[in-house]
Amino acid sequence: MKNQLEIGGKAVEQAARATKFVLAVQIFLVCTVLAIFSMLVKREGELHDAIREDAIWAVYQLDRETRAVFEMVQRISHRIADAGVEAAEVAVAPRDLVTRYDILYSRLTVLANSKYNVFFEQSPNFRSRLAGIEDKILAIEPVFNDIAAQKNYAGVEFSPVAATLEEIRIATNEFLVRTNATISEARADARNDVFQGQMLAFLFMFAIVVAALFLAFHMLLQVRIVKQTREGMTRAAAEFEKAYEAAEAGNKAKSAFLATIGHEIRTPLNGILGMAELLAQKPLPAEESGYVRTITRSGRALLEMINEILDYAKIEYGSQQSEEIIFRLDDLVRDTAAVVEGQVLEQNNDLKLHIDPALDGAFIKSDPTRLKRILLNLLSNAVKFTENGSVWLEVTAGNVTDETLELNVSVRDSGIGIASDAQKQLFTAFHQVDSSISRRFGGTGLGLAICKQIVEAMQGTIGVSSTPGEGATFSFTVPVQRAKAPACIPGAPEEDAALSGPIPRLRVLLVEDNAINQRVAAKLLEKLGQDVTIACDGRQAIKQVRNAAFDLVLMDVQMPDLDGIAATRLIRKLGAPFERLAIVAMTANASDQDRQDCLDAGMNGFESKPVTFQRFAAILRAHGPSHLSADDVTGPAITASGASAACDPETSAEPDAFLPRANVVHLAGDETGEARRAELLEELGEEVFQSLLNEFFEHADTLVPQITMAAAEGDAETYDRLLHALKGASDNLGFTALTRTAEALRTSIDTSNQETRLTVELEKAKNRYRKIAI
Amino acid sequence: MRTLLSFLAGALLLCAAAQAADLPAPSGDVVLVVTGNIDNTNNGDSAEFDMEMLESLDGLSKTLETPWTDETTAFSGPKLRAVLEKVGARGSKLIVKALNDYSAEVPMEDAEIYDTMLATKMNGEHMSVRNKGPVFLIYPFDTNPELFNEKYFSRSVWQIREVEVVE
Repeated sequence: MKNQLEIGGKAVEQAARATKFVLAVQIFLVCTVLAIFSMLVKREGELHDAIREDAIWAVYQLDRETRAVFEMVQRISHRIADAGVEAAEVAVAPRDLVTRYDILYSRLTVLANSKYNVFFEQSPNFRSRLAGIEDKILAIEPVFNDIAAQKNYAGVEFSPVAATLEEIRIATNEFLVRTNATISEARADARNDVFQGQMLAFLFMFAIVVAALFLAFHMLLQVRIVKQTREGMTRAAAEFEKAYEAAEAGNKAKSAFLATIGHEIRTPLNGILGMAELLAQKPLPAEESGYVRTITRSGRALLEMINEILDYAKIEYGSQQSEEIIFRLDDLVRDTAAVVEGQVLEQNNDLKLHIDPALDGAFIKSDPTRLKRILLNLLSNAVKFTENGSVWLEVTAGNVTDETLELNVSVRDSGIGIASDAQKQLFTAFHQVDSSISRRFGGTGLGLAICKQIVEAMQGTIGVSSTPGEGATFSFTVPVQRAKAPACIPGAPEEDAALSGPIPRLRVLLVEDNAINQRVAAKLLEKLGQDVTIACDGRQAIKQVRNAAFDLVLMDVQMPDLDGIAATRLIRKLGAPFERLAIVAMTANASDQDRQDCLDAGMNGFESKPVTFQRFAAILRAHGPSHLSADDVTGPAITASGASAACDPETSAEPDAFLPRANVVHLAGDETGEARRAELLEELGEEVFQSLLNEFFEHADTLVPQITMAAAEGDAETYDRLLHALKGASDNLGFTALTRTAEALRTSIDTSNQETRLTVELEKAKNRYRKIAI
Repeated sequence: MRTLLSFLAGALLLCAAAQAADLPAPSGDVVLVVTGNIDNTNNGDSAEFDMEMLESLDGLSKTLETPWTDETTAFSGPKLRAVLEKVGARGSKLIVKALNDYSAEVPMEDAEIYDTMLATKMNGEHMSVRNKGPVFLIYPFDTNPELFNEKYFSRSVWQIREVEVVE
C-alpha cells in the first residue's frame, strides 16, 4: 500500500514537471507569435503601397490628360484644315484648350511632388523618363500661353504641337506601362513578405496549438494519476481505520471480559476467604491450621490480583473519570502512608516521610483518588520487596508558578532492587521482573502499568532507577494546580454574611438513615433553634414532605432502597409547592460528579459530611426566608469564636447557591477529628455527647461482626452498606482513623482481616474517648 | 443620431435659404457652379460664383499638411457649408466635379460636421488651374487627424468646376 502511494506521488511529481516545461514552451511560442504579428502590423511597406498606388494614378492621369489635349489639338487641326480658324474656334473654344493644357501642366506638378521620390528614385529610368516628358510639355507651353493671351487660334501652328503631343503620348503610355509593371512587382514582393510573415505566424500558431493539446493531454493524465492516488489513499485510510477499529474493539472486548470475569470470580472467592477465616478461629491441629493459613494467603493473593486486573480493565475501558478537587496534600500523603503502616511493621521495615516544607499544609487542586492510588501502589511495592530495611517517601514541589506546580514524589527502598534490563519492562502490563517474583511475592504485575496509565492521564511522568541488591527508587511527577488555602485558621474572623448574623427558625426535615448521624444532626439543629423532623429513608422523606410543610430538607445522599437523589427527583415531581422546596444534600462523597448529580436531581445545595455546627448555621441562613421578622430569629448569634474547625471557601456566593466548602475533600487528620469532637462537646454539652459516643460504640460493636460475616458470605452489597454506615457515624464523631480504615476496606484496596483492623481502630477510638472523658 | 443631425442641419439650411433669397449674378469670371437641388439660383437652374462672391462668404484660413504638398501649406476660402447655405442646398450628398472630369461623392455631413473649406487661395495667392485651382476642397486634417486617409484624400477634389447637390 505504501509502495503504491509512493509510485502515485512520483507520477504526480513527474507530471507536474512535464506540465511546467510545456507551459514554458507555450509561453515562448505565444511571445514569438505576438512579435511576428506586431511586425506585420507595423510593416512600413503599407505606406509605400499607398504611395505606389497614388503614383500610378498620377501617371495614369498624366497619360490621360496628354491624350485629351492631343485629341483636342488634332480636332482643332482638322477643323482648321477643313473649315478654317473660326470654325475651329467654335468647335473647340480656345479657353477650353488652354484649360486642358493647364490641367496637363498641373499633373506634372503633382508628379514632381517629393513624396513620389521614394518610389521613382528606386529606378533612375523613371526620373529620366519623367524629365523627358516634362521638357516636352514645357516646350509647347508658349503656344498655349499665346492662345490664352489672344483668345483665338489665329497664326497658331498646331502641327508641331500635335507632333510633340504625339511624342508625349507615346512616352506617357510607356511610362504608365513601366510604372504599372514595377508597381505590380513591388506589390507582389510586398504580398510575398506579408505571406511569409503570415506563414511564420501560422507555423508558430500551429506549434502553440500542438503545445496546448499536449498540455491538455498531460493535464488529463495528471488528473487521472491524482485520482488514482487519491483512491489509493482513501483505500489505505479505510484499511487503517478498519484495522484500528478492529484493534480497538478487541481491546474493549478484552477489558469488558476482564471486568465481567473479575466480578464473577471475586464473589465466590470472598466466600472462600470468609470461610477460611472463620475456620482459622476454630481450634485446629497444627497441620490443618497451616492449610487454612495457606488457603487464606493464596486466596488473598488471588483477590488482590483480580482487583488489580479489574482496575486495569476499568482504566483501559475508559470508564474511570478524573476529578478536580481542592485538598490538602500533606493530609493525603500521611493518610496513604498510614494505610501501609501494618505491612511496614510486618516486614520489620522503617518508613520515613519527608514532605517539602513548601507543601506542608498547602492546598492543591487535582485528583486525590488517583494520586493516592499511585502513592499506595509504589509504597506497598517498596514495603513488599524490602525486609528489615527502610522505605523513604519524599514529596517535593518543582516549577512553582502562581497557579501551578509540579509535584515530585519519590519512593525509595533498601530492598532487593531490579536489574537494569528488567527496568524497562516494569511499567508494561502483565509483566513482572521474573516469574519467581509472583511466586515469592504475589501480584499480577499490573500495579505499575496502572500507575503509568494514571500518571500519563494526568500529563505526568513516572520512572525508576535501581541497583540490584541495593534497592530501588520509583518517582513520578505530575503537574497540579495550586489552590488558595481555604481559610481553616481557627479564630479567623468570618466575613461571609452566610456565616454570621441571625439564624432563622425553620421547619427542617432531616433525612438520614444512620441512627448516630440522625442524632448528631438533630441535636445540632435543635441547638440552633430549629424544628426538626426526622425521616429514615427516601420513602419516609417523601411521605413527610407531603404531610407537613417544611422550609428545608437536609437529604442524605446514600441511603438503602431509595437514595437521596431519587427521593429529590420524586419530590420535585410532586407539584408546584415542592418545586421550590429547599433541599440540601449531605454526603461523604464530594467529587465533582456527585455535586453534578445532586444539581441535576434538583437539589439547592451540597454539603460534605460531617456537617459542622457552623455549616448547619450557614445552611439555615442561606435557605431561610429573606424577610425575617424579629420573632423568627432565634438561637445564638453564631460568630467565628465558636468555629474552631470552620473551613470557609474563597468563593462564598456561588451562583448555584451551593454553599461554600463543598469542594474541599475531607482528608481530615486526627486534629480535625478532635476539633469535631470538641465542637460537638461544646455545642451539645457533655451529657448528650457522651450518650452519643456510647450509642456509637454499641452500634459499632454490633456492626463489626456483621461486616466480617458479610465479607465471608461474599455479600458485597451488605458489606459495603455496613462499612458505609460505620464510616459515616465514626466520621461524624471525628474518629478519623476508624473512618479511614472503614473507607479503605470499602474500596477493597486492602482486604486483610477486616475484623482485626476494625476492632483495633475501634479500640483506639474507645481509648481516645476515654481520654476525652477524663 | 446621424439622421437627426442631418435633419437639424437641413432645417438650418432652409432657414438660411429663406434669408438669402436672392443671389446676385457674378460680375467676374465664373469659378464655381452649383447645380442640382438648390433654392437660390442666378443662372437658370444653377448658381454661379465668381471669386469675389466666394470670398465674401463665411470663410476660414488653415495651415496644414496635405498629401499633395511637400510642406505645410496655408489655405483660405469659404466654408463649404457657407456656399451650400448661400444656394439653399437640400440634399444628402454632393457630387464634386473637377475640370478634368474627375468627380467625387461627398456626403452632406462632411459639410455639416467638419469645417470643410472650398479653398480659393494657397499660400495667400489664388490658384491657377496649373496649380490645382481655381477651387480646392480642403478637409480639416489639422483639427481632425482621423480624416487623414485615402477615403478623404479621394474626396479632396481640386480644380473644382461644379458642385451638384443630390437628394
